[in-house]
Amino acid sequence: MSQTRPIPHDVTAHVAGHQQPGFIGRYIFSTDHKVIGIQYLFSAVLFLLVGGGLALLVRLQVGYPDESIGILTRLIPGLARHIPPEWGGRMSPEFYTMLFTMHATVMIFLVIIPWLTGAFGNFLIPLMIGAKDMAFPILNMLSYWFMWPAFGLLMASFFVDGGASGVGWTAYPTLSSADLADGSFASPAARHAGLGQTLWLLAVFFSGVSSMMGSVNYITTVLHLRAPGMTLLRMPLTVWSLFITAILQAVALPSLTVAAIMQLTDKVFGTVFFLPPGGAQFGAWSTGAGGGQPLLWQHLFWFYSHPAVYIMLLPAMGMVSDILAVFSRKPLFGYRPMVYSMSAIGGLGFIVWGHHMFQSGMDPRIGAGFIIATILIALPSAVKTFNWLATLWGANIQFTTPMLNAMGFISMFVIGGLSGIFMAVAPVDVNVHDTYFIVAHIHYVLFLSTLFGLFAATQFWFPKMFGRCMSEPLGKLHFALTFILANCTFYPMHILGIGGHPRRYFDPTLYEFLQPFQPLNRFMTVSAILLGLAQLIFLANFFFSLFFGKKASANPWDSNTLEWQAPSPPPHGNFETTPVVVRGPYEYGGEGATDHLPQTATA
Amino acid sequence: MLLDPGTKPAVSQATETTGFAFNWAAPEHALPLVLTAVAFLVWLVAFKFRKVWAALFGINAAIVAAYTTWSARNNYWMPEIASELAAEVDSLFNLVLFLVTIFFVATQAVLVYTMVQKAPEGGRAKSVHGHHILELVWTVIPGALLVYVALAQLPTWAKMKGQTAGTLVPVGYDAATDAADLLVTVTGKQWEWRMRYADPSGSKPANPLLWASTPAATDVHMVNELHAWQGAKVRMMLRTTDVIHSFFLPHFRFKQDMLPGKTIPALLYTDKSNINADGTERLWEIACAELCGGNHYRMRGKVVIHPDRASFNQWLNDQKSRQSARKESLAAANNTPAIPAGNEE
Ligand code: HEM
Ligand SMILES: [Cu+2]
Ligand SMILES: [Cu+2]
Repeated sequence: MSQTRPIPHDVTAHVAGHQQPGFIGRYIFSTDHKVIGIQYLFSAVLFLLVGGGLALLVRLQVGYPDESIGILTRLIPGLARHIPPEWGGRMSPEFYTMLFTMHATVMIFLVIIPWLTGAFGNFLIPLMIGAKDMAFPILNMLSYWFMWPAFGLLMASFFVDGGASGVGWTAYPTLSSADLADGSFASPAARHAGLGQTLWLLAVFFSGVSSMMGSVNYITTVLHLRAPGMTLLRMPLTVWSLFITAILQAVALPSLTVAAIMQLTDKVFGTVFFLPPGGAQFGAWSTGAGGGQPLLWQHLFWFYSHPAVYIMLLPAMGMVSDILAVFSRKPLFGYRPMVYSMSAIGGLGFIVWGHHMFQSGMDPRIGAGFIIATILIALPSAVKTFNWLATLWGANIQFTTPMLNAMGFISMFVIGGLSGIFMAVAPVDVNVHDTYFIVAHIHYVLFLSTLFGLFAATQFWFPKMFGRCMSEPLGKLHFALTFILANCTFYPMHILGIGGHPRRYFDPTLYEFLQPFQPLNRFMTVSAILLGLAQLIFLANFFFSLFFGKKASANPWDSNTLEWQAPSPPPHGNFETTPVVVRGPYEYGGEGATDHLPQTATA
Repeated sequence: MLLDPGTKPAVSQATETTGFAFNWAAPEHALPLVLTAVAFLVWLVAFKFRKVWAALFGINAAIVAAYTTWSARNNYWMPEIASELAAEVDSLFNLVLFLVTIFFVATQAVLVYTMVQKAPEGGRAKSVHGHHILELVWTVIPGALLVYVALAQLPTWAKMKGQTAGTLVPVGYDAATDAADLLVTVTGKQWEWRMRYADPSGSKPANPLLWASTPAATDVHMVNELHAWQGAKVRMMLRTTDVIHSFFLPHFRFKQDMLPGKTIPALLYTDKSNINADGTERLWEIACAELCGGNHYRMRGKVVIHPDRASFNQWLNDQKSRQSARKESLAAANNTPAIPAGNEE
């Protein structure tokens, strides 16, 4: 692997020789990786509120399909438009499709990815490898500002004619792609598949471009700007995970971007990439002949979106690993197996996308291949879990908020990973596909794993970002409530799915075989509302601590990695002198004079 | 329509309900609050006894395990099994359930244990960086189990996807030319299922793919009802005229998307009838499992498996004569051509 590498002179000179920028240069159009990271953090936390609100509306409808949401129309501007009078104060089924579509879109593209790779990728990579900034600071700034068209387009789409997209975050044609092509941007297929979907595609395009700029930057930075002595195998797992994630993004994203452009031209210019030769009929209206296939979209979409689920998990895995070691006061168990298994997840992640299509019209012979690959991808996840547990074994555990959230991550990732094995058994998957079982799986990996990872990481690195600590008692209260309530909200979804409850249903009580499950649906809705309320504790803690939190020292957690050698918060340029790394990041415990040895400590 | 797509009216009465009828005595409303209180309590006690955090994780894992067991025992589980293939799918499910239960219990137990374990002497943990043999053990054992699961499912997969020769490799769709015992075309459209059977008095169609795209005037049409008889192997040709739908028969563990532009051949095995001895029917519903627009949730249908071929034939002939009677009277009354397929009633 790579040897000690000096920092290239031109780059350091560029950063160090910077004159102090003014307010706008410092806080708005900043090229400082830390400010950009914090910008991402704020926008992600903000959109968490939007995405969560949408989710609660979805839950209200499924739990109480017969109830009016009339009182909410007084609280939420614009909602009344979607409550047709003949529905007795209830939302319409079309409006419901928009809710779950936009919930998933906001959570994936505006919360999880920006929070993980945008906020922590930006803030941590240069600090943890001992660089003064990213390799391409201006590209970095652009990557954040390219998110704004995505934010704007998605938010604006709620207010356009026909409303925001309601075709699912998977946006399968022809539901999504059909367009009246008379300049009205309306869809013959669904009320929420017109202009809203066009804007959705544009937003996905912008968010893709933004992520691509980020990825290029991360890869280059990790490869070229590591401090002297920071070999690849001395990098903390956080950096490894962000590095692998960046590679995944760089390779997978073009597929989604291309697919989005193709669907866009299908909608706007009447190309027929996803329209079959026979066209599609909607009532008396016909699209005319096409020449493509919806199956093509599914392949292109999942070629990105399967790796994307790991993009949404790997950085959390990396950060949780680091946090575990710190609060176990013990070296991380199996550093190399951890790196190898993350690489294996990254590699295998590219050949399993077909497991989202076992029941689609894909040739069943290819399905058999995807079965084997999918089953195998569970193995590296298992290996990681065992190594985490071994790290905890015999440890001197400190029950801080980041630690509790990290342990919550492990506990919940086990459930999410194990439910994946059911779905890797294709005959079983055919049965549970598109039922609540999938919704349970998604939320165990993305909410209960990644989000716990993010809560852990946010509370852990908050002192470094803002020079103040978040409140421990409030953080723990938030953890305890979230842990229990998230399980109440999502675990019963497995049972619902086993019972055959399809996802994306406006009113399940129509079906006799689903009626016995309705009390369960109500249970989950009540839990979800409480869960939503519990998140207000996190928000309060976050914003309150920004101003009134306890002042933090440079290294409040007695951690070894380089970012803790810089002041809290680090100045422009990060380090006063370039750190020289002499050891790996996990020297905790042992018999030495102190219970930890920073990566730069020579003794 | 033959079966109302829902037990509820399409547009409900314009009467505003008074609000959410929370009955706090109902377990589904009280339980989340009780559990919130438990979490709150753990938080309080943890100020004094930090190891009580282990209880939070332990209680959670225990509830998950107990609740799953309870659901399985009390029929909050898979719907009734309608075919041997469905039973095979369920036994694969149970195999995985068995394996993951071991891993679930083991990992959660270790996690909880580490939270209550005695602190190392002097507060200093041993500086252990890893262990080769351990890594090998926990890679190879799960790996072997996973490979076993991967292989064990292949025969069922092949059978599910239309392989009838009993080999491991499924057949491609173009090779599914066998008309089986009964041939039916199911066409999804927003928002109903249209079934088409060949004329019972005619000869069995030789080429299902060709037949699926060439409707004949004598075909028998149904909406939202799929009929067959016990023991029949049904060849379904799945099509859609507009968007993707997914034909989901929960009791058969059957699910297959309908893709615009494609005709997808599928096999349905019917080893059980849902007509009871007293002539009553156990409802086996059909649902749509791929988002297809606002009324996606209303694509409700049902499957009827007649106890024997004779009663199925009788049903089909009944439909046929009703259909032609209707066509004649319509044509006579309006002097219009026969109504388009599937639009009866
Ligand atoms: C242990 C390894 C895993 C296996 C074997 C696995 C397997 C699967 C399979 C087969 C599906 C398709 C189910 C269907 O739609 O019928 C699926 C869906 C999904 N998985 Fe996983 N999974 C694993 C881990 C993960 C992880 C770690 C994440 C994310 C962090 C994830 C996120 C998702 C999401 C978001 C979907 C649903 C997408 C959608 O249809 O909307 N999975 N998984
Ligand atoms: Cu996947
Ligand atoms: Cu549907």
